[in-house]
Amino acid sequence: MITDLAQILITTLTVGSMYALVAVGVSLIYSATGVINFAQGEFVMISGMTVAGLYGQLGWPLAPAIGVALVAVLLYGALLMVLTTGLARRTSLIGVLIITIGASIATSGTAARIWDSDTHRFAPFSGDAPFWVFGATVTPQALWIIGVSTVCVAGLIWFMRSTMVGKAMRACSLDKSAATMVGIPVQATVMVSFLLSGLLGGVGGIVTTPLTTVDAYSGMLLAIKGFSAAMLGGMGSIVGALLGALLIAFIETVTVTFGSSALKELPTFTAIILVLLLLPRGIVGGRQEAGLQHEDLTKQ
Amino acid sequence: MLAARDLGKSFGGLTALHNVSFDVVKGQIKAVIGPNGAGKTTLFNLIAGTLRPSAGTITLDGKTISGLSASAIGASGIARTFQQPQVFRSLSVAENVMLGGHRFNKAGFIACGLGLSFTRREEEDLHATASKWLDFVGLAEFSSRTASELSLGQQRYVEIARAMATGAKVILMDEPAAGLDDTETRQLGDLVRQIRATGVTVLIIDHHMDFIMSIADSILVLNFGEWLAEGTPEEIVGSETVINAYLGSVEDA
Amino acid sequence: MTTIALPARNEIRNNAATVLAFAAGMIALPFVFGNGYYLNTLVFVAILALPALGLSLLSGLSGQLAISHGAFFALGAYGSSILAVRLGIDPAISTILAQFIVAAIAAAIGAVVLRLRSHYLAIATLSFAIIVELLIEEWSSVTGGMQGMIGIPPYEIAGMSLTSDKAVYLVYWPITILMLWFALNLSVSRVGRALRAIREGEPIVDSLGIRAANYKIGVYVVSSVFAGLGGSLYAHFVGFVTPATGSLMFAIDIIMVLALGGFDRLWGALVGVALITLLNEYALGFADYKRIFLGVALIAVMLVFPRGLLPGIIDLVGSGLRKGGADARRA
Repeated sequence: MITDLAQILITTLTVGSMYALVAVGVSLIYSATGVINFAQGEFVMISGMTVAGLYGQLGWPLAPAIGVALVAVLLYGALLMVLTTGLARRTSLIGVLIITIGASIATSGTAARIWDSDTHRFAPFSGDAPFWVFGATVTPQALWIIGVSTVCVAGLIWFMRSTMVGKAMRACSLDKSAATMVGIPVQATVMVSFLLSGLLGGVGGIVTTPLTTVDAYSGMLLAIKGFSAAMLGGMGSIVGALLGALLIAFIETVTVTFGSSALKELPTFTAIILVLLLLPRGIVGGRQEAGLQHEDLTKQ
Repeated sequence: MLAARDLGKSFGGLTALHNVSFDVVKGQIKAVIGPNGAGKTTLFNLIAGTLRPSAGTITLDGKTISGLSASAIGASGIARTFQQPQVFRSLSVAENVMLGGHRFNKAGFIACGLGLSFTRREEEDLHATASKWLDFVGLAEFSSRTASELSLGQQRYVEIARAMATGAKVILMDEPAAGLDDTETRQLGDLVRQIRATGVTVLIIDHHMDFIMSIADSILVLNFGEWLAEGTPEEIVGSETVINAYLGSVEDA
Repeated sequence: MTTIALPARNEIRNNAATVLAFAAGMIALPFVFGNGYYLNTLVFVAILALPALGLSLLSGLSGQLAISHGAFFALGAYGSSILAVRLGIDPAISTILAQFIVAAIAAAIGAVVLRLRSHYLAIATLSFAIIVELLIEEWSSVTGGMQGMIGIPPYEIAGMSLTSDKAVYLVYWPITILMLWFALNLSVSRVGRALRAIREGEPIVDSLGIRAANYKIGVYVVSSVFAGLGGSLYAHFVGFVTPATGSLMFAIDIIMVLALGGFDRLWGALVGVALITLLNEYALGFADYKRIFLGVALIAVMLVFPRGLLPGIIDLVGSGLRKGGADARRA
């Protein structure tokens, strides 16, 4: 029993950390722009595939491979920003959602042409000899995932609360026109949101790939999990995204432990529908009330 | 016919309306006045079912309507116009008014999809009703224009025609004279009297005192969410409590 | 642009005339050009037009974007196949029964999720679609699991199996055209008017004594049955179904169709389906190239023509003509 509980806890934390990096990224972009980024999982895929290719296959040292991966996700973040905000001024929010769907499938298709359709991984940072805590198996890479994610999310919260740039970003997400009036460069804060969001996903790809593997198409499901988590927590809230990610990871872990691993998504997505209905503003209460937004595809 | 008893509404800790009771007599024009923040629009939202009262009841012809859904209240005979005209902007003027009478027709998804002949008869009848009310408000010539092309003043008349088409017993009008000049206000006053002449009861909020005094049969005064006074225009003009309340506020009504 | 005041009679008549002309053209096609592989392609156009028309009704009229049309396509395909293969029910009857199942599921799901708006609705319907896909993959005793089902019987008419492309073509196209006619009628009717009003402001619709929620559920059910019927026709034509039938990629294909044809154009949906099917058939054999192309095309269309490619081009040509006309008058 203790073993089960410990295993559930450690797996929830590991999987939850992975989802949290995506969910927090989704939340950041949403609060800066109102855009739901369906392509958020592609950050993870791009960085995972890059490191797997350079470090795992071509035998580069780890550090430059990570460097290249992070540059790649930063560039991709900038590209997404241009597509969803810079060029899409006439497009409705749902139209922008469709653009990010397009970006996601185009990116996965491109990745499958650059690499291939197979799964990739690379060696864990500190070997793969597991150790046991209360009878639960813990791999060193799981600790890497939990540790790096905690540092990233905590760092981000500190950044948003304590630095000028972070405060400016929060001001913009609350009221864009007021922020403009007091002289905050709104476009710059949007850019920072996309870049930070990309970095979070990129870091996620680097720490999780040794454990979870990656393939060209793995981004979309991860994105769906990520924004479901962000929505569960309350759109636009970093802490909410974190809680949502842990909740989804917990539901999945419990299902896999006591039920079947094939059906692990079933309770997750049922829970998503339920939470959307029962707590339309998410666990911690997001920025916008679900019921108030109205989108129209047929109007310009 | 429309009666409120001990009506109250609070948002969190904020009391917007407290212990308000009044009656509206059938076929009358009743005005609701009061300084900004007096709870007038909240009162309308409670009657129309947009908000649920925290306390008290509202009855229409003896039947309790408070607590019903907005659509059930709409179907029971209460229609409204809004401070900011809320027309369906991409629909034609006639279609806007036809939606007022929509609930009387029966054709469902399948009958409409199959284009059954009775659906067309229904549509023609409804269109005739809509034309009648567009004529009533003087917008007949704009019937086939897209609603967004009309001026705000005209959109307000579309709302009135739409409200009449619902076959409402009571129409709630929220600041219909806002932004109108003197001539337009006078025309609006004539129209409101014509509405009363059809037997429909009107409950109206407005800040133009001359306008209110010239059309209202009875006036209810709210102040800080509470009942302050009620009576004929003459009684209200002479009431000291009302004068004090108004002098004490920044409102230049 | 002005709208005609009383659309019902005139537009229904116009619709009927246009639809009849179109039907005559489509039915004449195989007799003019003879048999050929193109008929097979056109059968797929007829099938895929149904979910596209369904989504067009939902998003074009009531302004809601659901990502569940792939799932209802799959439910229609599997529902009819399971009834026909496992219970031996005649395919025509199993198809009809399957639509009742689809309608019941759509009503139940719709009643729950349609309270949500905008991207919340998109996510909720996407979650539903993923649940359906998982159930199909895992409930293998009934659905055949990952392997899917084979040996799904074709329709029979007067003892004749619909197996040749031409026979299927001549049955499927009239069905699709009937459904198009139904959708066109619906969009100009009082129901269509109520749905367009809901798109602009649900609370105001409610204030007129109209139960907006019921109309939303209604259009969701109709729209899902369009997709379900497409799925049934598909299964009895190709003879097999797999979990890939109606997967997420399929749902994205359908959104692409509307992005091409316009979100509020029923005829546009037909044009969009034809374009996508042709592209799939002749230009995009490789799945990954298809992903790249679809993705880039979606982005480009939504950036340049947010209302859809076809309406965008029509607007461009229209304004070009008006400009040309004005220039001509000036000269």
